[in-house]
Amino acid sequence: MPLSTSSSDDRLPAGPWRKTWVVALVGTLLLLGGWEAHWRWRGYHPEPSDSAELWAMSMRRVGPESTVLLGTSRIRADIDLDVMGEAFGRDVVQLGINATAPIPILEHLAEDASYRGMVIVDLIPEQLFSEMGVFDEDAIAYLNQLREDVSPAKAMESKLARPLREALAFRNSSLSIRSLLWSQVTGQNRDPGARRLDHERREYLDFSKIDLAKKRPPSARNIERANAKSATDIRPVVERIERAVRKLQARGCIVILVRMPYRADDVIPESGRYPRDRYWNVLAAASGAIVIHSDDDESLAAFTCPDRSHLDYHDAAPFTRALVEIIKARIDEARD
Amino acid sequence: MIFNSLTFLVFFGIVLCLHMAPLSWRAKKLNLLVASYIFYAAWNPPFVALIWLSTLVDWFAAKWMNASDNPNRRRALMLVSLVTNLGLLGYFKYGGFLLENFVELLRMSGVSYRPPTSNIVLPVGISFYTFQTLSYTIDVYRRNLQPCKSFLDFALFVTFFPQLVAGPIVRASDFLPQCAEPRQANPRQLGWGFCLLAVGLFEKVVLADGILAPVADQVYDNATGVGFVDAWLGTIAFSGQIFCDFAGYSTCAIGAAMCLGFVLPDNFRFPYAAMGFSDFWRRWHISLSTWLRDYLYIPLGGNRHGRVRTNVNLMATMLIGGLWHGASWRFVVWGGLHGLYLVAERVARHFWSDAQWAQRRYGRVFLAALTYLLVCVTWVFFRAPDFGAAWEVVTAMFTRPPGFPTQPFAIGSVGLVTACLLIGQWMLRDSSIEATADKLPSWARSLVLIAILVSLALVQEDDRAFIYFQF
Repeated sequence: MPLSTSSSDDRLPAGPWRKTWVVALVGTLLLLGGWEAHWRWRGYHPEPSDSAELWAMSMRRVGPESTVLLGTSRIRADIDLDVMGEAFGRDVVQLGINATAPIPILEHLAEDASYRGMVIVDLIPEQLFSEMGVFDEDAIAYLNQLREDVSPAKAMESKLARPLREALAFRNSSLSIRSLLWSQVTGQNRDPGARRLDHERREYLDFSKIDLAKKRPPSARNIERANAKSATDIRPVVERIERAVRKLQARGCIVILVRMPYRADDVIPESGRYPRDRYWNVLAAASGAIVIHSDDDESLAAFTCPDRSHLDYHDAAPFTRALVEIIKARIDEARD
Repeated sequence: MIFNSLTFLVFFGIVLCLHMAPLSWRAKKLNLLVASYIFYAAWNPPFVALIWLSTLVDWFAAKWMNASDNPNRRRALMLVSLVTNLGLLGYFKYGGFLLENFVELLRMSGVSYRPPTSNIVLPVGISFYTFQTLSYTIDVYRRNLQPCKSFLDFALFVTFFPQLVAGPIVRASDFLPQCAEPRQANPRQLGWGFCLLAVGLFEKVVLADGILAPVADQVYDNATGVGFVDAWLGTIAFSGQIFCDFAGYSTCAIGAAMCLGFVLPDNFRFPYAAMGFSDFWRRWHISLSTWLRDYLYIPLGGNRHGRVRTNVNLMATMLIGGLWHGASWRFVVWGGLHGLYLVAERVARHFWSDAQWAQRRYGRVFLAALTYLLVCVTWVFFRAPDFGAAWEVVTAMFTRPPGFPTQPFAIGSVGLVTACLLIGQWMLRDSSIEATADKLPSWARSLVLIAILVSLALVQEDDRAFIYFQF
C-alpha cells in the first residue's frame, strides 16, 4: 500500500515552516483579540453555555435539604436565587429548562429517597395538556445526560473548556458564527447584554435592551405546538404529577406548584384553549401540593411581563420576595 | 479522546514534548504506547483490556506460527487468532444484531421469544484495530511477513493512538519497520504535520459539524413526508458531511503521526472526483478497500475464476464491507448497492471499453457527476435511522414534486460547500494536496492557516464524535 504524504521529504511542501506558523499564530491571536474586544465593546461578557451538561452539574449539587426550582424559562428569569436562599435559609438550585414541562424531573426527585427539601415547580397548562402530549422531551434528554456515564475524556474536557468560556465573550453561544449569520439573515438586531446567564443557570432578561418588535421568529416546532389543540382527557398527566407529589410529601418534602406571571391576552392559550377551570384548577385540586396562581394574589399580579411571559431582571428580586411571603404563609396554613 | 477537543490539544502537546525530549528510542516508544492506552482509556478504561487481549493473542499466535512447520498447528493458531479477534468483534458489535434477527426468525416461524435485555456497549474503534491485528497474523501465516521481534513495537503497532480508533488501517509491513530506527519529525514534517491537523479539524469542525450535519440531521430525523428538494439537500449535505468527517479524521491522524515522525497510509484521494465505482473505491477509505481486497476478495478467488464468479466475489466483498460498518441491514444494503454498481460497471466496461466519449472532457465530467449522484443514493441507507426513513427519502428524491424547502437558507450554505468540495476534488484528482501547498508562497500558507484557525475558534458546536468511531 502506498504510504501517504511523506515516504520521503520530497513530497512534502518545502518552505520556511517556522515563519509560516509564527505568522499564522500571531495573526490568529490578533484577529481573535480584535473580535473579543469588539464584542466586549458592544456590551457582551463571557457566560456559560446553557447546556444539558451545565444542568447536570446543577442537579448534582442538589443536597437532601436543598430548595429546588423546576420549570421553564419563566422560573429561570423570574426568581432571584440569592433572595430566595436568604429567605428560606437553604441553598437554592435552579433546574428549570427552557420550553419544557418538568414532570420527568419531578418524578426523578420523587424517586430520590435521600431528598427531603422543598420543590417549587413552575407549570404551564399548554405544555402539559396539549393533544400532542406533554412537552417534556428536553427534560428527558437532560435526565439522560445526567444518567450517562461521564467518560474521563468528557470530564477533562469540561474542566478545560470552562476557563475559556469564563474568559472569552466571543465563546457565548449567541455569538457563534451560526447565530450571527442567522441574525443577519433574519434581520434581527443583536441586543448586547439583553439576555445573560450565570453559572447557577439563572437568566437575566433586560428588556430595556430588547426590541420586542424584532423578536426571534418562532421555530417550526413551537408553531406546531402553539397551534395544537388542548387535550380532552387530562387525567393521566394530573395523576403523574399527583403521584410524584405524594411520594415527595411522604418523605416530608414541601411541593409548591406555581403558575408564574403572564400577560393575559389573546395569544396566551390559557385564556382561550386552556380555560383555568378545566385545566389548572383540576390539577390544583388533585395534586395535593400547595398551589399558587399568580392571578390570585395582587402582589404577584402587579408584575408585568414585557414579552408576555417573563419578568425583567430588575423585577426578579421584588417578585421573589413577594412569592416567598406567599409561600411562607401557605406553608403555615398547610401546617395548621 | 477526540481530536476536536481541548483535552487532545493538551494531551498531544505533552506527548510531543516527551517525544522530542532527549530520551532513548525505547523510552520514546514506551511514551507513545502509554499515551496510546491513555488515549483509548479516556473513553472507557476497562475496554483497554480488549486491546491487551488482542495484542497478546496475536503476538503469541504469530510467533508460534512462524516457528512451526506443521500445517495443522499453524492452521490451529491462525484459527485461535481469528476466533479471538472476530469473536470479540462479533460479541460487542454484532451480538445484539444477531439476537434481534434470531428473535425475528422465531417470530416468523410462530415462536414467541423475548430475550433478556442486553446492554452491550460497543468499544470505540474495535473494527479498526481488529482488522489491523488480523492482517498481521494472516500475513505471518501466509509467510508474507516475519513476526515482529519486539513486543513493544508490536504493541505500539496495534495501539498507535493517531489511527487507533478510526484508521487508516495500517499494515504491519508498513508500520513495524518505522519502529526499528529512532524517528523524530524534522521541521518540514512538523510544519506540514500541524497543517494537516489544522486542515483535518477544519473539515470536521467547521464543514462537517458546523455547516453540513445540522442540515442532514434535520432532514433525516424528520423524514416522514419529506419533499424532493429537502431530500436531495439532506442527502447532499450528508455526502459532504461523511467525507469531511472521515477524511478529516484521517487527515488529522496522518498529521499527528507525522508530527511524531511516523508515516501513515493515505485513506482518501478526492473520491468525489471518481469516474466510476472501481475508481471510487480506489479513492474512498483506501485502507479498508485494500484490506478487503487482499484478505477477502482475492482469497475468495478474485477475478481468476470467470466473469460470474468474479461478480459473486465482488458482491460478497461489498456486502461484508457494508456489514463491517455497522450491525444493521441498512449497511448491508449500502454495501450491496455498491456491489451492484461495481458489477454493472464491469458489464458496462465489457461492452463499451473503447467508448471515445468517455475519454473526452465532458464525458469525464458526466461520468464523475453520475458516480457522485449514484454514491449519494447509497448514502441514504447509510444515514437514515431506519428503513422507513430511508425509503421516504429515496421516494422523495425520485418521485415527489419539488415542494417548498423547509431549510431555504441551508440551500446556499450546503450548495456552496458542496460546489467547493466537488470542484476542488475534480481539480486535484490527479494531483495531491502537498503539490498544491508546495506552490503557495509562505505568506499565502499563513493566510490560509489564519482563516482555518480563526474559524475553528469561532465555530462553536458541541464536540461531536467522528462518525466512524461507531464502526
